[in-house]
Amino acid sequence: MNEFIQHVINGLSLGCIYALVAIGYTLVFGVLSLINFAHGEMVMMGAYFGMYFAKHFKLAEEPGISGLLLTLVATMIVTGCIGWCVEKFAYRPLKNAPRINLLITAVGVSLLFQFSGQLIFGSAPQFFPQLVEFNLDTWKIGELQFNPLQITVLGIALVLTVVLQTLVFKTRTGRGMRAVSFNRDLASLLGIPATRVISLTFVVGAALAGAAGVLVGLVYPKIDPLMGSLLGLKSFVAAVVGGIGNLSGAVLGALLLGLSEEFVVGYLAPTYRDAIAFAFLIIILLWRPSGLLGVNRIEKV
Amino acid sequence: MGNNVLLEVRDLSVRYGAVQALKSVHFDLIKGEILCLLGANGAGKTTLLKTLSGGLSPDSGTIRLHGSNLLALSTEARARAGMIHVPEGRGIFLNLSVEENLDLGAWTKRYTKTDYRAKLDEVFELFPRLKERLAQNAGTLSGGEQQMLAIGRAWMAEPEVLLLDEPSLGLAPKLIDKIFEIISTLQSKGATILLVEQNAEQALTIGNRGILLETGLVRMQGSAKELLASEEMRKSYLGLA
Ligand SMILES: Nc1ncnc2c1ncn2[C@@H]1O[C@H](COP(=O)(O)OP(=O)(O)OP(=O)(O)O)[C@@H](O)[C@H]1O
Ligand SMILES: [Mg+2]
Repeated sequence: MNEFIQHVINGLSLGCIYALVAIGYTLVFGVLSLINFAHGEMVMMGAYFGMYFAKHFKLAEEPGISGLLLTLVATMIVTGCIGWCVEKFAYRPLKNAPRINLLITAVGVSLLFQFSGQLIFGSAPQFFPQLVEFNLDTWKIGELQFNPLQITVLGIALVLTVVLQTLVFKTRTGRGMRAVSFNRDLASLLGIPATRVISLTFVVGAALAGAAGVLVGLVYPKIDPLMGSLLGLKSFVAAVVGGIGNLSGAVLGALLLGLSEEFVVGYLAPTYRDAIAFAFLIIILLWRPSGLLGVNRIEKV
Repeated sequence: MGNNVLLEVRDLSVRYGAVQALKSVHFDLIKGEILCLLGANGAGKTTLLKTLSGGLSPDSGTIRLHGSNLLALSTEARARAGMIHVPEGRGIFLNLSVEENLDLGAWTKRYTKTDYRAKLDEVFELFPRLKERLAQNAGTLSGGEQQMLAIGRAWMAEPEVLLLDEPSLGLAPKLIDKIFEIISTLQSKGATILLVEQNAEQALTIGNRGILLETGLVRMQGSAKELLASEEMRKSYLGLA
């Protein structure tokens, strides 16, 4: 039982990281109908920036929540800005071009980031500083042991997800986003500045991916310039499983993916870890072609 | 009369590739009037509205609102300038609730809470049904209710010019009467309306003036009375022979 709960917690915290990334895919898909292949690279850049930031300010010397939060905020600002640039310089000029051009550009941007990552950061893996105390004895309820790192990651990811949901569903800006994602031309007719909304969507998505990068660094400290591609791909799978374009779907898909990965590692064979994501995708999509919470939306009335 | 011209359209030509959809369209929209835009299917009515609100850019011609050039403005900026377009097929955000749709209608107006409330009450007075459906997903509304929502949402923006594209399309006769009545009410509240309609006779009954488009050309232009009386109108569009 104890072991089971441990796996659940591990799975959820992994799932939460996927969720932060999957949200970005789904948001951008919503407003631009674009699968932003460069999104996974935001996670990588978040991890590297977080690492340099934490090292520069020697935050690992006194591990604690304040150092972590500081790193997180700084990273989110930086990746948010990168996201803004990507939209402005790579995608916006193509706004009247066919979809396929946009998609190819996305692949190009992704490769650009991977290679410049190798150039700038070096291709050898580096180690993310330990920003949270890793003392297994401190968190215990009866027989149950909680890994403080896992709980911290879970907590931060949850807070960010809730903040995002509030932004999207409770604010004026969020209403604008949902309007643009339903139909951009219609939104413009009401005076909603679609271009700004799209730009903001990229910023938000990239900031969350940056946060995910820091959290990944905490849990799996070995980071390298290509780390974003598999993580990005799996999160994308999570978004598709949940129903791409649907926010709650992305979170649900990500949590399910995290849990199933953890259970495969825990009870079956660790080698199948990465295969599970794709098996998962295929099974769910055979059963529900538009994803768990996706609807067969009528395109553009 | 010159001073009362709200919207001035001159020599407007629009093409879709090789198809010339509007040819030198020329008219004024006078403050406070209902101007009916009539014509057969494919005459270019929707094209004209889209060009006015910014969805299409013309090959040539000018559009001026209050004397200032609208063509220089983006669609959003035109909405901010008071040009509100209720598109063909209503244009409801089916993924949002009725309340959120109405709220988006007020996007260009940064109302205070009280003003917002007052505006909303005004819309509920026009369409009491919307008040009952406030929390409901707009996708679950009936066609008629969606049309009410589309007009109500446009009204939230306090439009200077209201562009209505076939508001009676697909509605039951009783509801059509009701929609025309509402359009008249909006006029009496000070709106200036460009009304595209297939129900030519009913439109001209509430309208002040009319324009007849034929394959992108202004075929006829005049007061509602003149158009109703015209032999040609009666034959081709009113079915009265
Ligand atoms: N996107 C487009 N591409 C090419 N041709 C178009 C396009 N949209 C409209 N047209 C053509 O332009 C002409 C005018 O179309 P428009 O939609 O303005 O007509 P309408 O008067 O609104 O007709 P209806 O009463 O059927 O709504 C038609 O011949 C139509 O086929
Ligand atoms: Mg039309």
